[in-house]
Order: sequence, then C-alpha cells, then structure tokens
Amino acid sequence: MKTRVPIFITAFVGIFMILKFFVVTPWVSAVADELVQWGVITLAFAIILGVLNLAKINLKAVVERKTDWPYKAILLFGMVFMMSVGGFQWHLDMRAEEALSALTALEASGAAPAAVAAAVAASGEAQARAATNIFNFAFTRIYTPLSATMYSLLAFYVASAAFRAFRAKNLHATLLLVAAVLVMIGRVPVGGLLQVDLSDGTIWRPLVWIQDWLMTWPNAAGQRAIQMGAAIGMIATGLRVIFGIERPYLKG
Amino acid sequence: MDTAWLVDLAGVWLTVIFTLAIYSFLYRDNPFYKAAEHLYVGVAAGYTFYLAFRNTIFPNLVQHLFTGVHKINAGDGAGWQMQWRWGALVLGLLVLARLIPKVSWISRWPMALVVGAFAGLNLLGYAEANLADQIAGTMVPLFGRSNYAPYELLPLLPSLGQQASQPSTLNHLVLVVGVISVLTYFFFSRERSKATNALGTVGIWFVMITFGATYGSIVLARISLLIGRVYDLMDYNQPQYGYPFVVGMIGIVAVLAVWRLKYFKGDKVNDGTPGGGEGDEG
Repeated sequence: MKTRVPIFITAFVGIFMILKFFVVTPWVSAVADELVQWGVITLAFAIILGVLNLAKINLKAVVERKTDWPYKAILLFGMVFMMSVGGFQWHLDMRAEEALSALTALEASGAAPAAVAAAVAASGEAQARAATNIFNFAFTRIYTPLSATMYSLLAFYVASAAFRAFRAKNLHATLLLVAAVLVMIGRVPVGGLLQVDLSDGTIWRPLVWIQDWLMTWPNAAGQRAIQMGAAIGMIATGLRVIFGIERPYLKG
Repeated sequence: MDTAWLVDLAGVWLTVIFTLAIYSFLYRDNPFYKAAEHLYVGVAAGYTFYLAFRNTIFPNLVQHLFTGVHKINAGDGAGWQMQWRWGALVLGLLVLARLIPKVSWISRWPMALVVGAFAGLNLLGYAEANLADQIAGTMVPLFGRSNYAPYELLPLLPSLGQQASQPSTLNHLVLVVGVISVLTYFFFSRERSKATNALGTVGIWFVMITFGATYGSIVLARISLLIGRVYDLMDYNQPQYGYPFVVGMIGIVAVLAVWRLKYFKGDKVNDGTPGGGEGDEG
C-alpha cells in the first residue's frame, strides 16, 4: 500500500498522458484532461499544505518563545493579513460581478430607465470599491516593494561575484568576460553613443550591434545545445519515473 | 484630512521603510532586515495561498462541482460526467494527510498522480519543443536562398547596416557549428578522438560565450531592478510626504548604530531578540 500503490498510480497516469498524444479518441483525451485537472488541483492543495506547515512551525516557535520568535510572529501576521485582505478582495470582486450581471439582466429585460440608472450606479460603486481597497494597497505597498528590493539586493552580490568570475586568466575566462561586458555595454544607453556613419548613409552602433549579434547567433547556438541536452535528460528521467525506477515521491 | 491622501502617505512611508530595511542587509544581518524578510515570506505565503484558492481550487473544483450539480438538477446528463472531479477533492485532502504523522504516508498517492501526470506531459512536451523543434530550427541553409520569407539569397557576411539578426552564411555557420560543437562537448558516452576533442574545444568556447552573455543579462536585469527601487526612493522623497527617504535612512542608521554599540561583543552579535537570538546566524 505504501509503495506499490503510488508506483502503480504514477505508471498508469504517466502512460495515459503519453497515450493521449498518440491515440486520438475522445474518451482518452477526456480522461487525460480530467487527470491533468486532478494534478493541478492536487498541486494547489500542496501549496495550501506548505502554507499550513509554515504556519504550524512558526506558531509553535512563537508559542514556545523560541529563538527569533518576534520575527516569526511578524511572518504569521503578514501571512494572515494577506490571506484576510485577499478574501476581502475576492468578496468585493464577486459583489462587483453580481452588480454587473444584475445590470446586464435589467438592460436585457427592457426595465424602466430609472431602475437601469440605479443599477448602473450600483455597479459603478461596486467596481470602484473593488478597484481601490486594502488588497491593492497591501500588494503595491508591501508585497511589491519587498519583492523587488529583495531581488534587486542580488545586484550587489552578482556584481561582486562578477569581479571574481570575470578575470581574464585564460582563453575560456576571457571569452566569458568579453561576452558579458559586450552584452552589458550594448544594452545600456551609453552603448548606443558610439556611432559610425556608413558609406550608404546609415548609422551603425557597433556595441549595440555586436550585443545583438552575440545574443542572436553564438548565444542561441549554446542555449539551443544546452536545451537539447536538458530535453534528453528530461525524457530519460520522465521514463525512469513512469516505470518506477526513480521514485522521488516515496521519500519523506 | 482626506482619507485617500492619508492612505497614500502611509503607502509611501511603508514602501520606503521596507526598501531601506532590506537594503540595510548590505551593512550586515540586522533586526530591520530580519523583520522585513520575515514579513516578505509571510505576505508571499499568504498571497500564494490566496491565488491557489481563488485561481485553482474555487473555479476548477468548487465551481465545477456546483455547475455539475445544477446541470443534473436541470436534467442535463453532462452534469454526471462533471462529478468525476470529486476524485480531485479526495486527492487534495489526502495531500493534507502529510500534517498528521501517523497517516502521512497516504499523501504519496496524490503526489504520485502529480508526478506521473507531469512526467508524462513534460516528456512529450520537451521532446517536441526542446528537442525536435530545436533540431528543426538548426537545420538552416548555409548557402543559397534563406529559409525565411521573402526567401532572398543569403549574403556571405552579415551586413552592418542591417539588424544583427539578419540571416547570412556566416551567421548560419556560427549557429550550426555552435550547436554541433556544444553537443559534442557534452557527449561523454564514448572515448574522444582527436577530431571530437577539437570540436569539443570549440564547444567550450561557445559555452563560455553563452554563459558570459547570460551572466551579463542577469546582471543587467538585477541592476534595472535596483534602479527602479532607487527611482522609487527618490520620487517619494518629497516635502509633502515628509522626506521619508531621508528620515527613514537617518532613523535606521541611528537605530543600527545603537544596536551595534549595545549588542556587539567581540565578533559575536547578540541582537537583543527575546529568546537570545544570535544575529549573524539567523
């Protein structure tokens, strides 16, 4: 039950998904689509499991006054706050949708102009409430700045890592350095300042052009080969998982 | 005072304080950063929960089942087919069994379905998009007419007056040689001959150029995010908002100075967190 059933489920579902591509029968497609929906919904429940687990662990730390418990309380506050305002936003959006549906129904039924005007006003008010509320505030004033700043913080570390990685010690490191520098210079406004007037009257921006050429041809060639290698690896791993040779879901 | 103005003012101050709190990590791990970091994790988790419920569970499960029931009540036989979705609900609930140690093993069943479904889907998806399509894309003419409309004759060299992405014999040669040489470099299943070794060496050059170009793009993406944050800090630092950047900066620096003087003992930092947190290890 603990190992054989999951292996059977993986093999059955995996083979069915492959079968869908080769057997063009409505019922196979219908079953495969339904199984994909089951997978999507199960993944959504897995996200909920993760959030509940995070809440459980941090709540325990706060209750037991473990190390750094005030920060964990902040985490819990943020989580509950965002869930609550999300729920509130949902409620407002549903009200707005209901008001719009009522207005459409009234207009279709040929109701009195006064009733339609009242419904228009109600719908407008509901839309306005849905557009400006605490969820938007939380998203734009808390989530977005925190997220953007957290990722932008990496600029400092990426730049400092670049100083260490981009040392022209040998040919390979030099190629890495030159490609990175050309791409960076070619993509910033200063890269476009260097201009050459060609004989036919057109203006050539060498740094921008070289950056574009590097990204379109040599970089595309490298990326393409890496993608092909990764695809072969993915196919091999997928087959190993479907046939039960690899069983990552049985761990833990 | 106008409520909208107060909300705007609070929003500006929150944005600036959170931005500065995260950047305070450039000095070292400190209570401001930790608080902002934990708030970010909490808010992101709450937001993900909200999205999972609103965008997936509600429309694909709850609404789907209710629509099915309505159809059955209306005498529409298609409603019965929609009841298969109860299986997804059962599997979803089985995932939550992970929270109960005694029966946590049962959560392997739904995860096995997810793994099987996406392994099967990705297997063919990757084979088509990342393998077959990429091979087809590499089969470009080296001489003669271009494979793109209007099918003109390929020039030998790229023209400087045109865009760098214009096809030419040299560009196509770079693409084909690049792909074959990198694939040769990554082929480890056989002992290398002199020829494959030489081709593999060219492959390393292409890999290095690719990594360099990718790294350059990543650096620029991060720096553009940084510029965005700095613009925000500058834009919001207006007299009508009470100079939040200057005030916030002075406040954070002052508190960090006091924190450093009070809690630094040798190399170790006790950040004063109730519970005795070791700041640098947090």
